[in-house]
Amino acid sequence: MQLVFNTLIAASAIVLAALSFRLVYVTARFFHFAHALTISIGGYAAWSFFNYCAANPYWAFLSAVILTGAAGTLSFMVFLRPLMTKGASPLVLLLASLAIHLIFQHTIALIFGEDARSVWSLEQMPVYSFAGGHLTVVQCWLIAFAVGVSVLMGCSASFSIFGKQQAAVAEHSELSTIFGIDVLSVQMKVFLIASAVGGGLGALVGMDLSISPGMGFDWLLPGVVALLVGGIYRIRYVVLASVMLASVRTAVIWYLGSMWQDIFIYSVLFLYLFLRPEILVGDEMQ
Amino acid sequence: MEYWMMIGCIFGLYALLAISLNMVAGEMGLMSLCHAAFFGMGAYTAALLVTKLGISPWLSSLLSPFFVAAMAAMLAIPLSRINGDFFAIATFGLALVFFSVILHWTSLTGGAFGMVVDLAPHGTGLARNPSKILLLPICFIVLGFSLITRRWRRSPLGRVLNTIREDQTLAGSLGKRVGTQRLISFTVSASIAGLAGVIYLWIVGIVDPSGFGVMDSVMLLAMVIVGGAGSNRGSIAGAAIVVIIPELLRSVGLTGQAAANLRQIIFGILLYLVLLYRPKGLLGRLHVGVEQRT
Repeated sequence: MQLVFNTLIAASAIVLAALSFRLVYVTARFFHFAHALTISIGGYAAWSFFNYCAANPYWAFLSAVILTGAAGTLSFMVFLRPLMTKGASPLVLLLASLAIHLIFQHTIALIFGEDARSVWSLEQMPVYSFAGGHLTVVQCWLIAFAVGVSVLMGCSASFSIFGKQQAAVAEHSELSTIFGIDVLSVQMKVFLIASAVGGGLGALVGMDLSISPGMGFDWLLPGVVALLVGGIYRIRYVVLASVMLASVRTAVIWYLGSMWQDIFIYSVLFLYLFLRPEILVGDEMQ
Repeated sequence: MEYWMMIGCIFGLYALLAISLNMVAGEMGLMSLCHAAFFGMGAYTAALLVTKLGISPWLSSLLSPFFVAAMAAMLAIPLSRINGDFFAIATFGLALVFFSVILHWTSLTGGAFGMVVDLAPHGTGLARNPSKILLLPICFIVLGFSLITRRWRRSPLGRVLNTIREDQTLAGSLGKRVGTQRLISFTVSASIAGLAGVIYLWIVGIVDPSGFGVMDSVMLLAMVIVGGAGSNRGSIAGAAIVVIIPELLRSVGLTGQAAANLRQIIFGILLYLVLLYRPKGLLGRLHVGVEQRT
Protein backbone atom coordinates (compact mmCIF):
# COMPACT_ATOMS: atom_id res chain seq x y z
CA MET A 1 0.00 0.00 0.00
CA GLN A 2 2.87 2.35 0.80
CA LEU A 3 4.16 1.86 -2.75
CA VAL A 4 0.78 2.93 -4.11
CA PHE A 5 0.87 6.01 -1.90
CA ASN A 6 4.43 6.81 -2.99
CA THR A 7 3.37 6.50 -6.65
CA LEU A 8 0.40 8.77 -5.99
CA ILE A 9 2.59 11.41 -4.32
CA ALA A 10 5.17 11.36 -7.13
CA ALA A 11 2.40 11.43 -9.77
CA SER A 12 0.86 14.47 -8.05
CA ALA A 13 4.16 16.36 -8.10
CA ILE A 14 4.86 15.41 -11.73
CA VAL A 15 1.35 16.33 -12.88
CA LEU A 16 1.58 19.74 -11.18
CA ALA A 17 4.93 20.43 -12.86
CA ALA A 18 3.64 19.19 -16.22
CA LEU A 19 0.37 21.12 -16.21
CA SER A 20 1.86 24.40 -15.01
CA PHE A 21 4.65 24.12 -17.61
CA ARG A 22 2.06 23.21 -20.24
CA LEU A 23 0.02 26.32 -19.50
CA VAL A 24 2.97 28.54 -20.44
CA TYR A 25 3.89 26.39 -23.44
CA VAL A 26 0.46 26.36 -25.08
CA THR A 27 0.08 30.12 -24.74
CA ALA A 28 3.58 31.45 -25.32
CA ARG A 29 4.77 28.53 -27.52
CA PHE A 30 8.26 28.10 -26.08
CA PHE A 31 9.92 25.83 -23.53
CA HIS A 32 10.10 27.98 -20.44
CA PHE A 33 12.98 26.29 -18.59
CA ALA A 34 12.97 29.05 -15.98
CA HIS A 35 9.61 27.67 -14.84
CA ALA A 36 11.79 25.37 -12.69
CA LEU A 37 12.65 28.48 -10.70
CA THR A 38 9.06 28.90 -9.56
CA ILE A 39 9.35 25.52 -7.82
CA SER A 40 12.59 26.59 -6.09
CA ILE A 41 11.20 30.03 -5.20
CA GLY A 42 8.03 28.41 -3.81
CA GLY A 43 10.14 26.14 -1.61
CA TYR A 44 12.37 28.94 -0.33
CA ALA A 45 9.42 31.31 0.16
CA ALA A 46 7.64 28.69 2.29
CA TRP A 47 10.85 28.12 4.25
CA SER A 48 11.31 31.86 4.83
CA PHE A 49 7.70 32.46 5.90
CA PHE A 50 7.83 29.39 8.13
CA ASN A 51 11.11 30.27 9.80
CA TYR A 52 11.37 34.06 9.76
CA CYS A 53 7.70 35.07 10.00
CA ALA A 54 6.67 32.12 12.21
CA ALA A 55 3.77 31.49 9.85
CA ASN A 56 1.86 28.23 10.28
CA PRO A 57 2.27 25.75 7.37
CA TYR A 58 -1.07 26.73 5.78
CA TRP A 59 -0.12 30.41 5.64
CA ALA A 60 3.43 29.59 4.56
CA PHE A 61 1.98 27.59 1.65
CA LEU A 62 -0.52 30.30 0.67
CA SER A 63 2.08 33.08 0.95
CA ALA A 64 4.52 31.06 -1.18
CA VAL A 65 1.85 30.55 -3.86
CA ILE A 66 1.03 34.28 -3.98
CA LEU A 67 4.67 35.41 -3.92
CA THR A 68 5.71 32.96 -6.65
CA GLY A 69 2.76 33.92 -8.82
CA ALA A 70 3.78 37.56 -8.55
CA ALA A 71 7.46 36.74 -9.22
CA GLY A 72 6.55 34.71 -12.31
CA THR A 73 4.40 37.50 -13.72
CA LEU A 74 7.11 40.06 -13.01
CA SER A 75 9.77 37.93 -14.72
CA PHE A 76 7.50 37.65 -17.77
CA MET A 77 7.00 41.42 -17.92
CA VAL A 78 10.65 42.34 -17.31
CA PHE A 79 12.53 39.63 -19.21
CA LEU A 80 10.34 37.83 -21.71
CA ARG A 81 7.88 40.44 -22.92
CA PRO A 82 10.58 42.72 -24.40
CA LEU A 83 11.87 39.78 -26.45
CA MET A 84 8.36 38.76 -27.52
CA THR A 85 7.57 42.27 -28.72
CA LYS A 86 10.74 42.13 -30.82
CA GLY A 87 9.37 38.98 -32.46
CA ALA A 88 11.90 36.57 -30.94
CA SER A 89 11.70 32.95 -32.12
CA PRO A 90 10.79 30.16 -29.66
CA LEU A 91 14.47 29.14 -29.59
CA VAL A 92 15.57 32.64 -28.55
CA LEU A 93 12.88 32.66 -25.85
CA LEU A 94 14.11 29.25 -24.68
CA LEU A 95 17.67 30.60 -24.45
CA ALA A 96 16.42 33.69 -22.61
CA SER A 97 14.58 31.42 -20.25
CA LEU A 98 17.81 29.49 -19.63
CA ALA A 99 19.57 32.81 -18.97
CA ILE A 100 16.88 33.77 -16.43
CA HIS A 101 17.32 30.38 -14.81
CA LEU A 102 21.10 30.80 -14.70
CA ILE A 103 20.76 34.24 -13.07
CA PHE A 104 18.18 33.42 -10.43
CA GLN A 105 19.15 29.88 -9.47
CA HIS A 106 22.62 31.14 -8.62
CA THR A 107 21.18 34.20 -6.88
CA ILE A 108 19.18 31.84 -4.64
CA ALA A 109 22.36 29.82 -4.05
CA LEU A 110 24.23 33.02 -3.15
CA ILE A 111 21.57 34.13 -0.67
CA PHE A 112 20.59 30.82 0.94
CA GLY A 113 23.63 28.63 0.21
CA GLU A 114 23.85 25.39 -1.77
CA ASP A 115 22.88 23.03 1.05
CA ALA A 116 19.56 21.24 1.17
CA ARG A 117 17.37 22.22 4.13
CA SER A 118 14.00 21.07 5.42
CA VAL A 119 11.03 23.40 5.81
CA TRP A 120 8.95 21.43 8.29
CA SER A 121 10.47 18.69 10.41
CA LEU A 122 8.86 15.28 10.07
CA GLU A 123 8.42 14.95 13.86
CA GLN A 124 6.00 17.89 13.95
CA MET A 125 3.99 16.74 10.95
CA PRO A 126 0.66 14.92 11.45
CA VAL A 127 0.68 11.47 9.83
CA TYR A 128 -2.42 9.53 8.74
CA SER A 129 -2.56 5.77 8.25
CA PHE A 130 -4.75 4.10 5.62
CA ALA A 131 -4.85 0.37 4.86
CA GLY A 132 -1.33 -0.24 6.13
CA GLY A 133 0.22 2.78 4.38
CA HIS A 134 1.13 6.18 5.81
CA LEU A 135 0.61 9.66 4.44
CA THR A 136 1.74 12.92 6.02
CA VAL A 137 -0.60 15.88 6.01
CA VAL A 138 1.60 17.63 3.43
CA GLN A 139 1.38 14.62 1.12
CA CYS A 140 -2.42 14.72 1.43
CA TRP A 141 -2.33 18.44 0.47
CA LEU A 142 -0.09 17.64 -2.48
CA ILE A 143 -2.48 15.00 -3.81
CA ALA A 144 -5.52 17.25 -3.24
CA PHE A 145 -3.73 20.20 -4.89
CA ALA A 146 -2.83 18.08 -7.92
CA VAL A 147 -6.38 16.74 -8.30
CA GLY A 148 -7.81 20.25 -7.93
CA VAL A 149 -5.40 21.81 -10.44
CA SER A 150 -5.95 18.98 -12.98
CA VAL A 151 -9.75 19.27 -12.80
CA LEU A 152 -9.70 23.08 -12.95
CA MET A 153 -7.25 23.20 -15.85
CA GLY A 154 -9.15 20.51 -17.74
CA CYS A 155 -12.46 22.34 -17.29
CA SER A 156 -10.89 25.73 -18.00
CA ALA A 157 -9.30 24.55 -21.26
CA SER A 158 -12.55 23.05 -22.51
CA PHE A 159 -15.35 25.22 -21.16
CA SER A 160 -14.15 28.62 -19.95
CA ILE A 161 -13.76 31.83 -21.93
CA PHE A 162 -10.23 32.15 -20.55
CA GLY A 163 -9.36 28.73 -21.98
CA LYS A 164 -10.65 29.78 -25.39
CA GLN A 165 -8.76 33.08 -25.18
CA GLN A 166 -5.61 31.16 -24.35
CA ALA A 167 -6.04 28.93 -27.39
CA ALA A 168 -6.71 31.96 -29.58
CA VAL A 169 -3.61 33.82 -28.35
CA ALA A 170 -1.50 30.68 -28.87
CA GLU A 171 -2.86 30.22 -32.38
CA HIS A 172 -2.53 33.80 -33.62
CA SER A 173 -1.83 36.66 -31.25
CA GLU A 174 -2.31 39.44 -33.83
CA LEU A 175 -5.67 38.07 -34.93
CA SER A 176 -6.66 37.74 -31.27
CA THR A 177 -5.91 41.43 -30.77
CA ILE A 178 -8.03 42.32 -33.82
CA PHE A 179 -10.91 40.33 -32.34
CA GLY A 180 -10.65 42.28 -29.09
CA ILE A 181 -8.71 39.87 -26.87
CA ASP A 182 -6.28 41.61 -24.54
CA VAL A 183 -3.25 39.44 -25.38
CA LEU A 184 -1.02 40.93 -22.68
CA SER A 185 -3.64 40.34 -20.01
CA VAL A 186 -4.10 36.70 -21.11
CA GLN A 187 -0.32 36.12 -21.10
CA MET A 188 0.06 37.74 -17.69
CA LYS A 189 -2.76 35.62 -16.24
CA VAL A 190 -1.16 32.50 -17.70
CA PHE A 191 2.23 33.29 -16.15
CA LEU A 192 0.53 34.19 -12.85
CA ILE A 193 -1.41 30.91 -12.66
CA ALA A 194 1.46 28.72 -13.90
CA SER A 195 3.96 30.31 -11.51
CA ALA A 196 1.53 30.09 -8.59
CA VAL A 197 0.98 26.37 -9.27
CA GLY A 198 4.77 25.88 -9.58
CA GLY A 199 5.27 27.79 -6.33
CA GLY A 200 2.62 25.67 -4.60
CA LEU A 201 4.39 22.53 -5.78
CA GLY A 202 7.73 23.88 -4.52
CA ALA A 203 6.26 24.77 -1.13
CA LEU A 204 4.66 21.35 -0.69
CA VAL A 205 7.68 19.39 -1.91
CA GLY A 206 9.86 21.57 0.34
CA MET A 207 7.65 20.79 3.35
CA ASP A 208 7.55 17.10 2.50
CA LEU A 209 11.19 16.55 1.56
CA SER A 210 13.73 19.38 1.44
CA ILE A 211 14.65 22.48 -0.52
CA SER A 212 17.79 23.28 -2.50
CA PRO A 213 18.52 25.85 -5.26
CA GLY A 214 18.41 23.20 -7.99
CA MET A 215 15.25 21.43 -6.77
CA GLY A 216 13.12 22.91 -9.56
CA PHE A 217 14.62 20.79 -12.30
CA ASP A 218 14.21 17.61 -10.21
CA TRP A 219 10.45 17.99 -10.64
CA LEU A 220 10.12 20.04 -13.80
CA LEU A 221 11.97 17.66 -16.09
CA PRO A 222 9.86 14.58 -15.24
CA GLY A 223 6.91 16.91 -15.80
CA VAL A 224 8.22 17.87 -19.23
CA VAL A 225 8.73 14.18 -20.09
CA ALA A 226 5.14 13.44 -19.00
CA LEU A 227 3.96 16.33 -21.15
CA LEU A 228 5.81 15.10 -24.22
CA VAL A 229 4.76 11.48 -23.70
CA GLY A 230 1.14 12.33 -22.94
CA GLY A 231 0.77 14.92 -25.69
CA ILE A 232 0.93 18.62 -25.04
CA TYR A 233 -2.69 19.42 -25.85
CA ARG A 234 -4.36 16.51 -24.05
CA ILE A 235 -4.60 17.13 -20.33
CA ARG A 236 -6.03 13.76 -19.36
CA TYR A 237 -3.24 11.93 -21.19
CA VAL A 238 -0.68 14.16 -19.47
CA VAL A 239 -2.17 13.02 -16.13
CA LEU A 240 -1.99 9.39 -17.29
CA ALA A 241 1.61 9.81 -18.45
CA SER A 242 2.47 11.37 -15.07
CA VAL A 243 1.02 8.35 -13.27
CA MET A 244 2.97 6.03 -15.61
CA LEU A 245 6.23 7.92 -15.00
CA ALA A 246 5.59 7.96 -11.26
CA SER A 247 5.06 4.18 -11.35
CA VAL A 248 8.36 3.72 -13.21
CA ARG A 249 10.06 6.03 -10.72
CA THR A 250 8.66 4.20 -7.68
CA ALA A 251 9.60 0.80 -9.13
CA VAL A 252 13.14 1.98 -9.89
CA ILE A 253 13.55 3.45 -6.40
CA TRP A 254 12.18 0.26 -4.85
CA TYR A 255 14.38 -2.14 -6.82
CA LEU A 256 17.53 -0.14 -7.64
CA GLY A 257 17.62 2.92 -5.38
CA SER A 258 16.67 6.57 -5.80
CA MET A 259 19.87 7.53 -7.62
CA TRP A 260 18.84 5.74 -10.83
CA GLN A 261 15.37 7.27 -11.21
CA ASP A 262 16.48 10.05 -13.62
CA ILE A 263 18.03 7.55 -16.00
CA PHE A 264 14.84 5.53 -16.31
CA ILE A 265 12.65 8.59 -16.68
CA TYR A 266 14.80 9.91 -19.55
CA SER A 267 14.93 6.44 -21.07
CA VAL A 268 11.16 6.74 -21.45
CA LEU A 269 11.67 10.03 -23.30
CA PHE A 270 14.32 8.57 -25.61
CA LEU A 271 12.19 5.53 -26.29
CA TYR A 272 9.44 7.88 -27.41
CA LEU A 273 11.86 9.99 -29.46
CA PHE A 274 13.11 6.89 -31.19
CA LEU A 275 9.80 5.11 -31.72
CA ARG A 276 7.32 7.94 -32.15
CA PRO A 277 9.02 11.22 -33.03
CA GLU A 278 5.82 12.37 -34.74
CA ILE A 279 4.13 12.82 -31.35
CA LEU A 280 6.49 15.69 -30.73
CA VAL A 281 6.09 17.48 -34.00
CA GLY A 282 2.74 16.27 -35.27
CA ASP A 283 0.64 16.82 -32.18
CA GLU A 284 -2.37 18.77 -33.41
CA MET A 285 -3.68 21.56 -31.28
CA GLN A 286 -7.22 20.78 -30.19
CA MET B 1 53.97 32.82 -13.84
CA GLU B 2 52.84 29.26 -13.30
CA TYR B 3 49.42 30.57 -12.29
CA TRP B 4 49.01 32.51 -15.54
CA MET B 5 50.13 29.48 -17.53
CA MET B 6 47.37 27.49 -15.85
CA ILE B 7 44.89 30.25 -16.74
CA GLY B 8 46.20 30.06 -20.33
CA CYS B 9 45.58 26.29 -20.39
CA ILE B 10 42.04 26.71 -19.03
CA PHE B 11 41.37 29.41 -21.62
CA GLY B 12 42.61 27.08 -24.38
CA LEU B 13 40.37 24.33 -23.07
CA TYR B 14 37.27 26.53 -23.06
CA ALA B 15 38.17 27.88 -26.51
CA LEU B 16 38.37 24.31 -27.84
CA LEU B 17 35.01 23.47 -26.27
CA ALA B 18 33.41 26.61 -27.67
CA ILE B 19 34.81 25.99 -31.16
CA SER B 20 33.46 22.43 -31.10
CA LEU B 21 30.02 23.47 -29.81
CA ASN B 22 29.89 26.19 -32.45
CA MET B 23 29.86 23.44 -35.10
CA VAL B 24 26.47 22.31 -33.81
CA ALA B 25 24.94 25.38 -32.16
CA GLY B 26 26.37 27.98 -34.53
CA GLU B 27 26.63 26.31 -37.90
CA MET B 28 23.56 24.07 -37.63
CA GLY B 29 21.51 26.16 -35.20
CA LEU B 30 20.90 23.15 -32.94
CA MET B 31 20.96 24.17 -29.29
CA SER B 32 22.84 21.22 -27.86
CA LEU B 33 22.71 21.19 -24.07
CA CYS B 34 24.82 18.07 -23.55
CA HIS B 35 28.23 19.32 -24.63
CA ALA B 36 29.61 19.29 -21.08
CA ALA B 37 28.56 15.62 -20.97
CA PHE B 38 30.79 14.82 -23.99
CA PHE B 39 33.57 16.83 -22.35
CA GLY B 40 33.15 14.75 -19.20
CA MET B 41 32.83 11.54 -21.17
CA GLY B 42 36.27 12.16 -22.71
CA ALA B 43 37.85 12.81 -19.32
CA TYR B 44 36.17 9.85 -17.61
CA THR B 45 36.92 7.44 -20.47
CA ALA B 46 40.64 8.30 -20.40
CA ALA B 47 40.68 8.02 -16.60
CA LEU B 48 38.88 4.67 -16.61
CA LEU B 49 41.08 3.21 -19.35
CA VAL B 50 44.16 4.07 -17.30
CA THR B 51 42.93 3.14 -13.83
CA LYS B 52 40.65 0.17 -14.51
CA LEU B 53 42.19 -1.42 -17.62
CA GLY B 54 45.80 -0.37 -17.10
CA ILE B 55 46.12 1.04 -20.62
CA SER B 56 48.96 3.51 -21.15
CA PRO B 57 48.07 7.24 -20.79
CA TRP B 58 49.05 7.96 -24.40
CA LEU B 59 46.86 5.22 -25.84
CA SER B 60 43.92 6.03 -23.55
CA SER B 61 44.20 9.70 -24.56
CA LEU B 62 44.02 8.67 -28.20
CA LEU B 63 41.16 6.22 -27.73
CA SER B 64 38.90 8.46 -25.62
CA PRO B 65 37.83 10.92 -28.35
CA PHE B 66 36.98 7.96 -30.60
CA PHE B 67 34.86 6.41 -27.86
CA VAL B 68 33.06 9.74 -27.38
CA ALA B 69 32.54 9.96 -31.15
CA ALA B 70 31.02 6.46 -31.19
CA MET B 71 28.66 7.34 -28.33
CA ALA B 72 27.70 10.63 -29.99
CA ALA B 73 27.00 8.85 -33.30
CA MET B 74 24.66 6.43 -31.53
CA LEU B 75 22.84 9.27 -29.80
CA ALA B 76 22.69 11.32 -32.98
CA ILE B 77 20.40 8.75 -34.63
CA PRO B 78 17.31 9.43 -32.46
CA LEU B 79 18.32 13.10 -32.16
CA SER B 80 18.45 13.49 -35.95
CA ARG B 81 14.63 13.24 -36.04
CA ILE B 82 14.02 16.33 -33.92
CA ASN B 83 14.75 20.05 -34.16
CA GLY B 84 14.48 23.32 -32.32
CA ASP B 85 13.39 23.36 -28.72
CA PHE B 86 12.68 19.60 -28.71
CA PHE B 87 16.35 19.01 -29.58
CA ALA B 88 17.33 21.24 -26.65
CA ILE B 89 15.05 19.31 -24.27
CA ALA B 90 16.34 15.92 -25.46
CA THR B 91 20.00 16.93 -25.10
CA PHE B 92 19.20 18.46 -21.72
CA GLY B 93 17.86 15.06 -20.66
CA LEU B 94 21.00 13.36 -21.99
CA ALA B 95 23.19 15.68 -19.95
CA LEU B 96 21.19 14.86 -16.82
CA VAL B 97 21.51 11.12 -17.44
CA PHE B 98 25.29 11.39 -17.90
CA PHE B 99 25.63 13.47 -14.73
CA SER B 100 23.49 11.00 -12.82
CA VAL B 101 25.63 8.08 -13.99
CA ILE B 102 28.99 9.63 -13.05
CA LEU B 103 27.63 10.83 -9.72
CA HIS B 104 25.94 7.62 -8.64
CA TRP B 105 27.95 4.78 -10.19
CA THR B 106 30.41 5.07 -7.34
CA SER B 107 32.18 1.75 -7.88
CA LEU B 108 33.18 2.79 -11.40
CA THR B 109 33.59 6.57 -11.28
CA GLY B 110 34.34 7.29 -7.64
CA GLY B 111 31.07 9.21 -7.30
CA ALA B 112 31.20 12.78 -6.03
CA PHE B 113 34.84 12.39 -4.98
CA GLY B 114 35.93 11.40 -8.49
CA MET B 115 39.19 9.74 -9.42
CA VAL B 116 42.80 10.85 -9.16
CA VAL B 117 44.64 9.81 -12.31
CA ASP B 118 48.35 10.06 -12.89
CA LEU B 119 48.62 10.47 -16.64
CA ALA B 120 52.07 11.98 -16.64
CA PRO B 121 54.78 9.61 -17.91
CA HIS B 122 57.82 9.56 -15.65
CA GLY B 123 60.69 11.85 -16.59
CA THR B 124 58.61 14.39 -18.54
CA GLY B 125 58.13 16.79 -15.64
CA LEU B 126 54.43 16.84 -16.42
CA ALA B 127 53.42 15.73 -12.95
CA ARG B 128 55.20 18.70 -11.34
CA ASN B 129 54.19 21.45 -13.69
CA PRO B 130 51.58 20.37 -16.25
CA SER B 131 50.57 23.86 -17.38
CA LYS B 132 54.13 24.82 -18.34
CA ILE B 133 54.48 21.83 -20.64
CA LEU B 134 50.91 21.68 -21.94
CA LEU B 135 50.32 25.36 -22.72
CA LEU B 136 52.07 25.33 -26.08
CA PRO B 137 50.50 22.04 -27.30
CA ILE B 138 47.07 23.32 -26.24
CA CYS B 139 47.65 26.54 -28.22
CA PHE B 140 48.56 24.48 -31.28
CA ILE B 141 45.50 22.23 -30.85
CA VAL B 142 43.17 25.25 -30.55
CA LEU B 143 44.78 26.93 -33.54
CA GLY B 144 44.66 23.68 -35.52
CA PHE B 145 40.98 23.03 -34.83
CA SER B 146 40.20 26.68 -35.43
CA LEU B 147 41.72 26.42 -38.91
CA ILE B 148 40.11 23.04 -39.60
CA THR B 149 36.63 24.23 -38.62
CA ARG B 150 37.13 27.42 -40.65
CA ARG B 151 38.03 25.29 -43.65
CA TRP B 152 35.09 22.98 -42.87
CA ARG B 153 32.72 25.97 -42.87
CA ARG B 154 33.80 26.88 -46.40
CA SER B 155 33.66 23.30 -47.65
CA PRO B 156 30.58 21.84 -49.40
CA LEU B 157 29.64 20.11 -46.13
CA GLY B 158 29.82 23.41 -44.23
CA ARG B 159 27.59 25.10 -46.79
CA VAL B 160 25.11 22.23 -46.52
CA LEU B 161 25.05 22.61 -42.73
CA ASN B 162 24.27 26.30 -43.10
CA THR B 163 21.50 25.44 -45.56
CA ILE B 164 20.11 22.88 -43.11
CA ARG B 165 20.20 25.57 -40.45
CA GLU B 166 18.04 27.87 -42.56
CA ASP B 167 15.79 25.37 -44.31
CA GLN B 168 15.94 21.60 -43.97
CA THR B 169 13.33 21.02 -46.65
CA LEU B 170 15.34 23.01 -49.15
CA ALA B 171 18.51 21.10 -48.26
CA GLY B 172 16.65 17.80 -48.67
CA SER B 173 15.14 18.88 -51.98
CA LEU B 174 18.64 19.64 -53.28
CA GLY B 175 19.53 16.00 -52.70
CA LYS B 176 21.50 16.62 -49.52
CA ARG B 177 21.33 13.89 -46.91
CA VAL B 178 20.27 16.03 -44.00
CA GLY B 179 20.34 13.29 -41.34
CA THR B 180 23.83 12.09 -42.34
CA GLN B 181 25.28 15.61 -42.42
CA ARG B 182 23.81 16.33 -39.00
CA LEU B 183 25.20 13.06 -37.66
CA ILE B 184 28.70 13.80 -38.98
CA SER B 185 28.78 17.29 -37.57
CA PHE B 186 27.36 16.26 -34.19
CA THR B 187 29.84 13.37 -33.91
CA VAL B 188 32.89 15.43 -34.87
CA SER B 189 31.84 18.19 -32.47
CA ALA B 190 31.40 15.66 -29.63
CA SER B 191 34.77 14.02 -30.31
CA ILE B 192 36.53 17.42 -30.08
CA ALA B 193 34.76 17.96 -26.75
CA GLY B 194 36.00 14.49 -25.74
CA LEU B 195 39.55 15.54 -26.67
CA ALA B 196 39.10 18.65 -24.50
CA GLY B 197 38.10 16.28 -21.68
CA VAL B 198 41.33 14.33 -22.12
CA ILE B 199 43.37 17.56 -22.06
CA TYR B 200 41.50 18.60 -18.91
CA LEU B 201 42.56 15.35 -17.28
CA TRP B 202 46.18 15.93 -18.32
CA ILE B 203 46.08 19.41 -16.76
CA VAL B 204 44.33 18.73 -13.43
CA GLY B 205 44.97 15.00 -12.92
CA ILE B 206 41.61 14.51 -11.22
CA VAL B 207 38.15 13.95 -12.63
CA ASP B 208 34.93 14.47 -10.67
CA PRO B 209 31.32 15.34 -11.63
CA SER B 210 31.61 19.08 -10.96
CA GLY B 211 32.18 20.80 -14.26
CA PHE B 212 30.19 18.28 -16.31
CA GLY B 213 26.69 19.16 -15.13
CA VAL B 214 23.71 20.47 -17.04
CA MET B 215 24.30 24.08 -16.10
CA ASP B 216 27.88 23.76 -17.37
CA SER B 217 26.43 22.80 -20.75
CA VAL B 218 24.19 25.86 -20.57
CA MET B 219 27.23 27.98 -19.82
CA LEU B 220 29.15 26.55 -22.78
CA LEU B 221 26.21 27.40 -25.01
CA ALA B 222 26.08 30.88 -23.49
CA MET B 223 29.79 31.21 -24.30
CA VAL B 224 29.16 30.50 -27.99
CA ILE B 225 26.15 32.82 -28.19
CA VAL B 226 27.72 35.70 -26.25
CA GLY B 227 30.92 35.44 -28.30
CA GLY B 228 28.98 35.10 -31.53
CA ALA B 229 27.50 32.09 -33.32
CA GLY B 230 29.09 30.78 -36.50
CA SER B 231 32.48 32.31 -35.87
CA ASN B 232 35.65 30.89 -34.29
CA ARG B 233 36.71 34.37 -33.21
CA GLY B 234 33.39 34.67 -31.40
CA SER B 235 33.83 31.30 -29.68
CA ILE B 236 37.31 32.27 -28.53
CA ALA B 237 36.00 35.63 -27.29
CA GLY B 238 33.28 33.79 -25.32
CA ALA B 239 35.94 31.55 -23.78
CA ALA B 240 38.04 34.58 -22.89
CA ILE B 241 35.09 36.13 -21.04
CA VAL B 242 34.58 32.91 -19.07
CA VAL B 243 38.22 32.99 -17.99
CA ILE B 244 38.36 36.72 -17.31
CA ILE B 245 35.26 36.91 -15.06
CA PRO B 246 36.68 34.74 -12.20
CA GLU B 247 39.95 36.70 -12.37
CA LEU B 248 38.04 40.00 -12.05
CA LEU B 249 36.07 38.57 -9.14
CA ARG B 250 39.31 37.37 -7.54
CA SER B 251 40.73 40.89 -7.87
CA VAL B 252 37.85 42.18 -5.73
CA GLY B 253 38.39 39.45 -3.17
CA LEU B 254 35.65 37.03 -4.24
CA THR B 255 36.69 33.39 -4.47
CA GLY B 256 35.23 29.92 -3.96
CA GLN B 257 31.55 29.10 -4.24
CA ALA B 258 30.41 32.74 -4.16
CA ALA B 259 32.65 33.55 -7.12
CA ALA B 260 31.41 30.47 -9.00
CA ASN B 261 27.79 31.56 -8.45
CA LEU B 262 28.57 35.14 -9.46
CA ARG B 263 30.28 33.96 -12.64
CA GLN B 264 27.12 32.06 -13.64
CA ILE B 265 24.95 35.09 -12.78
CA ILE B 266 27.14 37.41 -14.88
CA PHE B 267 27.07 34.97 -17.77
CA GLY B 268 23.29 34.67 -17.49
CA ILE B 269 22.98 38.47 -17.65
CA LEU B 270 25.36 38.66 -20.62
CA LEU B 271 23.44 35.93 -22.43
CA TYR B 272 20.15 37.72 -21.88
CA LEU B 273 21.53 41.09 -23.00
CA VAL B 274 23.02 39.56 -26.14
CA LEU B 275 19.69 37.90 -27.00
CA LEU B 276 17.86 41.18 -26.45
CA TYR B 277 20.21 43.65 -28.10
CA ARG B 278 22.72 41.76 -30.24
CA PRO B 279 21.47 38.38 -31.54
CA LYS B 280 24.70 37.88 -33.50
CA GLY B 281 26.80 38.03 -30.33
CA LEU B 282 29.97 40.07 -29.94
CA LEU B 283 31.81 38.80 -33.03
CA GLY B 284 29.24 36.50 -34.58
CA ARG B 285 28.35 35.77 -38.16
CA LEU B 286 24.92 34.22 -37.69
CA HIS B 287 21.77 35.11 -35.76
CA VAL B 288 20.94 32.71 -32.93
CA GLY B 289 17.58 31.03 -32.73
CA VAL B 290 16.66 31.03 -36.39
CA GLU B 291 13.37 29.20 -36.82
CA GLN B 292 14.10 26.20 -38.99
CA ARG B 293 11.74 25.25 -41.74
CA THR B 294 11.37 21.49 -41.54
